[in-house]
Amino acid sequence: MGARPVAEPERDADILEGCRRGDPTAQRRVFERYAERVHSIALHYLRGDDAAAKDVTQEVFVKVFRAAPTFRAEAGLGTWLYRITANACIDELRRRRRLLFFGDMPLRLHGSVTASGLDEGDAEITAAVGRLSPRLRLAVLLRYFDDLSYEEIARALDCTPGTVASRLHRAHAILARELAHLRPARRLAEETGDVADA
Amino acid sequence: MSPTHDPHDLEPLLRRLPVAPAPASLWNDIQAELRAPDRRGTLTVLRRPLRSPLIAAAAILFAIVGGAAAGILRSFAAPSRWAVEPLAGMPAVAGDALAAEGALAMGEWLVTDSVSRARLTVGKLGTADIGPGSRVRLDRGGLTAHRLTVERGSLDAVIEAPPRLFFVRTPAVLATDLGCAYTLEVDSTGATTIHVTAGWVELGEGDVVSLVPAGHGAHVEPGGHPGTPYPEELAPDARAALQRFDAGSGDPADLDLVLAAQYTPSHDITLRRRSAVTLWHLLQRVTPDGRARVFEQLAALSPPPPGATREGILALDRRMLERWRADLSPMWSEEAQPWPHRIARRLWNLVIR
Repeated sequence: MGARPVAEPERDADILEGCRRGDPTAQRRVFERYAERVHSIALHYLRGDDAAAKDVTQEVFVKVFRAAPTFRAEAGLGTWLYRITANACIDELRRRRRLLFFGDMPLRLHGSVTASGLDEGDAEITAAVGRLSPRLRLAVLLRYFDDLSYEEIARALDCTPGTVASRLHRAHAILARELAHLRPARRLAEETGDVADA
Repeated sequence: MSPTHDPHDLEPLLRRLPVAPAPASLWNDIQAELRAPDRRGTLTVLRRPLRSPLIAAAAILFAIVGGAAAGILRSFAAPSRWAVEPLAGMPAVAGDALAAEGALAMGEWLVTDSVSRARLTVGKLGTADIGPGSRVRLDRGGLTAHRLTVERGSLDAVIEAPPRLFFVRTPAVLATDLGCAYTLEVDSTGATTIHVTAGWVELGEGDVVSLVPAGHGAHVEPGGHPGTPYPEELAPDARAALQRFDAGSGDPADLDLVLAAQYTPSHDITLRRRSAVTLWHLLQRVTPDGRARVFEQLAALSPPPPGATREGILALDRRMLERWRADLSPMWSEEAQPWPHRIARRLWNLVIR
């Protein structure tokens, strides 16, 4: 995966002001800055359901632009947007579960992802994250798609930083087990005691 | 040494999660949506028109089930005052002699002397006749739970209602009505003896309970296990031996006595049924050596069903014991129930438990 664009907090206020006025240019800036990450989070959270991820992404930006005039900017634009993303993902999963009689969705890889030259390891990582429980999955996606801090993730998920830390800890434990064969050989050797001396 | 999960080690891997660019058409879709009248909440519904009828159907079903449940709960609601009428002599309610029909309020005691008797109306469930020399209190029980405490004396209950609505606590045990008629006697030490004449009564609470079917009795000492059910015709010395197992002091000679008193496969099903009740309960109250003997005798009456093994039963595997009990239950029950009743009963048990 390529380098991820980093949010520019110092300009968020200007962009947000434009969104409040309904300025399409400002809206476009927000879309360009966040669309890829929102869509990626939705796609991974919904385990590769392309149509649902597109719906969620559209729903997120429509909500953001409609609610911008009343947004009080107590949290940053990004945190607010991720909170809406998280809620939209959770709602979508809930709706789909109802339709699927409480079953989870099958794991499918997104067409553009599979076409983007995934190596075997990437596919395994995607699959391992997809097997996490929805709560753990969302925390991992927010953490690793936009480098959000525990506090920012907590605001997005409406929970405490301690809860975030706990979820990430559990997710890391599961992923470490599932992805052990992909981790650096040296580290693994140290952990399993195969290295006699450093 | 087990692998640790250093997040710094995982980080490079997780940063390889593939990014999925948003479709180029999405921007135009969003703008079109923003230009359209605000239809918050309808976006996804319109995309999937099937959802609306499903949601409507679910709402209607929920209303019907909720309404029915509310109606059922209302009809079985526990009153805060129970009607009481004297059947003989002059019973007392809250210290006042009762000459005519009155009411027993929450927390009040109904006391009968050596010649008086009284009848309590148990909401819409049935009646409980209180015998001479009794001391009975009405307890708070929640929305549908009808609760009495019998400190001493006797109670003769006839309940026609779904299970787990009528509870009687004595110094020795909690008796839960499972839709039945029974007589319960509490002596001056609190020891409780129950005789079930119809349906079932559950004795005890928590992990160890006894299920006493019609035609059986059970005896419980304060602080002891819920009594092992026994057929009413069981010899007194075998009953005494069972009580020693309930108290944890039964020995091999007691087991000889109990096993010798049981019916065998040569008897007809009605008699075999009676022994199966006792033997199944006894499995959990004897030593491992004795358990093997009880198992053999019970298996001769009715072998364990698939999924319940000898080893599992001897190890008191809870699921296997329950499986065997479920398999034996039709043999215990004299009342064949049509399948709609069985389903309704199971649903009720699920809800009320």
